[in-house]
Amino acid sequence: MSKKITINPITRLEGHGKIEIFLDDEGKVEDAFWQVVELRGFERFCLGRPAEEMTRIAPNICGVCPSAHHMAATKALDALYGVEPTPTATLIRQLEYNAFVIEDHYIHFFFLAAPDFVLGPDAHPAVRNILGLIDKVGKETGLKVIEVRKRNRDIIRHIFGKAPHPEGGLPGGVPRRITEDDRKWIKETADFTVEFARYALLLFKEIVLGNEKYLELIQNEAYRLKTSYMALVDENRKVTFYDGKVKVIDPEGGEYALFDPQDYIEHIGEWVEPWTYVKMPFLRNIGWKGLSAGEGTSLYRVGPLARLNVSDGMATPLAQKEYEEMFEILGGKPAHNTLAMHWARLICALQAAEHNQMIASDPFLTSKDIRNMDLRLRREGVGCVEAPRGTLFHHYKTDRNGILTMVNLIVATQHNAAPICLSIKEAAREFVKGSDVKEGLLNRVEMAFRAYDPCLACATHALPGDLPLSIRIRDKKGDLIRTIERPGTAI
Amino acid sequence: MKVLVLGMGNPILSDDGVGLFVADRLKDRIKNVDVMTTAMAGLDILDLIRGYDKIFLVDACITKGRIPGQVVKFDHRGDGFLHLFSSHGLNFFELISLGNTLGLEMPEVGEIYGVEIGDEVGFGGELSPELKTKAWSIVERICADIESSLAAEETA
Repeated sequence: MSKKITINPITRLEGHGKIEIFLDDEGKVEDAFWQVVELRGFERFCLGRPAEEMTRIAPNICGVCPSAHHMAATKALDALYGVEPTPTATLIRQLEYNAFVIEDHYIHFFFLAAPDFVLGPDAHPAVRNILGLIDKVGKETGLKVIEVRKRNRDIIRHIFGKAPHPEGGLPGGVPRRITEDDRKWIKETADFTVEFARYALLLFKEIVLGNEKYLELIQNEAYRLKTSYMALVDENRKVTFYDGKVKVIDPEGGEYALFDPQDYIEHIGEWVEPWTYVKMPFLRNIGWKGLSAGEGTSLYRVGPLARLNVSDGMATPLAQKEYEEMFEILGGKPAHNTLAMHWARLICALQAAEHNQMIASDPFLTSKDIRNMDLRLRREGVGCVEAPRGTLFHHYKTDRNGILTMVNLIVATQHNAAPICLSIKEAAREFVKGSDVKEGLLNRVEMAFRAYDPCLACATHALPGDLPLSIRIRDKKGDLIRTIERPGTAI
Repeated sequence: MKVLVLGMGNPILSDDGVGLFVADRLKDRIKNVDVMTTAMAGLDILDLIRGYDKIFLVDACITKGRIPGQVVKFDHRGDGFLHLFSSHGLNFFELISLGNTLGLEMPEVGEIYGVEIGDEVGFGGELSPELKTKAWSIVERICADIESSLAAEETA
C-alpha cells in the first residue's frame, strides 16, 4: 500500500512549509514535494503607491533578507527614473550590500548549517543547534560570530538608518555620505571580517573536510542534482553581488545565456502547479519540462554554489584561492553537490569582506557627490541583485505620476523551488526506507532542503513563524496511519 | 535599572503590527523606560536588548479560543507568538540563553504581552477595524500593568 510521509513544517527555516514524501507499496520513496503556505496580496498592497515607497515597504516582506529587497528596490528606482548613481554612491551601496551578505551568510552557516556537521546529523534536535555548537567549539567562536554580525550591521545602520530593515534607498544615490572618520572604523570592520572569514573557512575545513564521513556526505549522490545555474557576473565574468549581467550555464557547464536583468522576462518563465503556491521559474526558451533534472532540464538553481559555478572565478584574491581549492576537491565545474552550497557560502562571504577592505581604502568613498538628481521618469524599471540565497528581481511599472501600476518580484527561493523538490526526493530515496523513519535520517532529508537556505516568507509572502515538526504517514487513500511529532525546535 | 519595552510586529501586515501600535503609544507614557519597536526577531534583536536590566515584550499572538484584542500575559515559552520566534536564527528564549552562555549582558524578561489577532492576517498598513476599536484600551491595560510591575519591584 502506498504511503505518504509529511515533514511539516521544516525546522530551522523561516516561514511555513512542509515536505511530503510518498512511499510505494514496498516502502520505497516514490515521489517528494515541498509545499508552502502563502499569504497573498503583497503586489496588490503596493499598487497605487508612489514607487519611492518600495524601498521602505519591500524590506518588510522578509525577515531574513530585507537588505536584498531594499537594494533591488533601490536599483529598480534607478531604472525607473533613468538615473545612474554617482561613483561614490555606488561604492557606498556596495559597502552596505557586502556587509549584508556577510552577516546573512554567517547566520546561516553557524546557526543553521554547522550544527549538522559539528554535532552530527544524528544528534538530538534539542542539542543540534547554536548552543550545542558553542558547547563543542567554544565560546570564543560564538563571540566572534556575534561580533562580526554586529560590526557589519553597524555599516548597514550607518548608511541606511537601521538594520536589518534598511530604509532610505534613493534613485541615483544614497542618503548618507561616508566621512574620513567613518572610513577608519569601516576599515577596521573590514579587516576584522576578512580575518573572521578566513577563520570560518578554516573551521569548515577542519570540521567538515577533515572528517571523511562528512566529505562523503557532501559528495554523496543523494545530495547531487544536475541542473542549470543562474547568477550575476561582473564585466570580467567574476562573482558579484551588487550588479552585473545574468549568466546561465547548462548542466554541463556551457554558457547558455548572458543577458541584462531588464530582459529577464525573455529568459525566465514561471510555471504554476496546483499543489504549491510558489510559481516555479524555468528557462523559457527550453520550455517547462516538469520536475526533472539532468540533460535537457529547464530547471536551474541560484545561490552561492550557482554563483561559483557560473562565474570564471572570484573577484578577490583570497576568495579566488578558496574557489580553486573547492572545485579541485569537488572534481571540477560545475559542481552539482547541494551540500557544497555551505562551502560556497563561506567563500562568497570572504569575497564580500575582501571587497569591503578595498572599498574602505578607495579615495572616492568619502566624496560628497552621493546623489545624481537627473531623474527622468521612464515608467518602468527592473532592479536585480544577488541576494544571499540567489538572484533577486524587482520589476515595477508606474503611471505618468510615478504611481505603481505593476509590481513583480522573483525571489531566490522561487528560482530554487522546483530543484528543492528534486533534492528532497533524491535525499529521501537514499535515507527513507519504509514508514518507520528515524530522526537522524529525517534530518538528512531536511539537510538537502536546508542547504538552499530557503526563505519561505518572501517566496510566498507567508507569515514567519515557528511550529513543531510533525511527520504524517498516510496510506494511498490519504488516511492517517501514523503521526510522529517532536516539540517546536525553532533553530 | 534600565528598562526596555519592545513592541514587535510587521508594519505592512495589518493586525500583525499591533505590538508596534501599542509600543508607539507607550512612548513617553512610562517614566524612566525606553520604548522601541522592531520588525525583527530572534538573533536580530540581540543588539537592541543587550545592556538592559529588564525588558517587557508586546507581540501579536494567535491562539485558539481567544477573541481578537484579548491581552494575555505569557509566562511560558511563548507558543503561538508571531515574532518571538524566528526560525531563521533562534527563538527569543534561546537568544537569552545564548547571551547568558556567552557572558553577554542580557536582561531579565519581565512580562510578555500577547495581543490576540485571530488567524486572518493580510497585507495592510493599518490595524483591522475590529482591533482598531480596541487598540487604545489595549494600550491602557498594558501601560497600567507595566507601571504596576515596576512599582512592585521598586517597593520590594
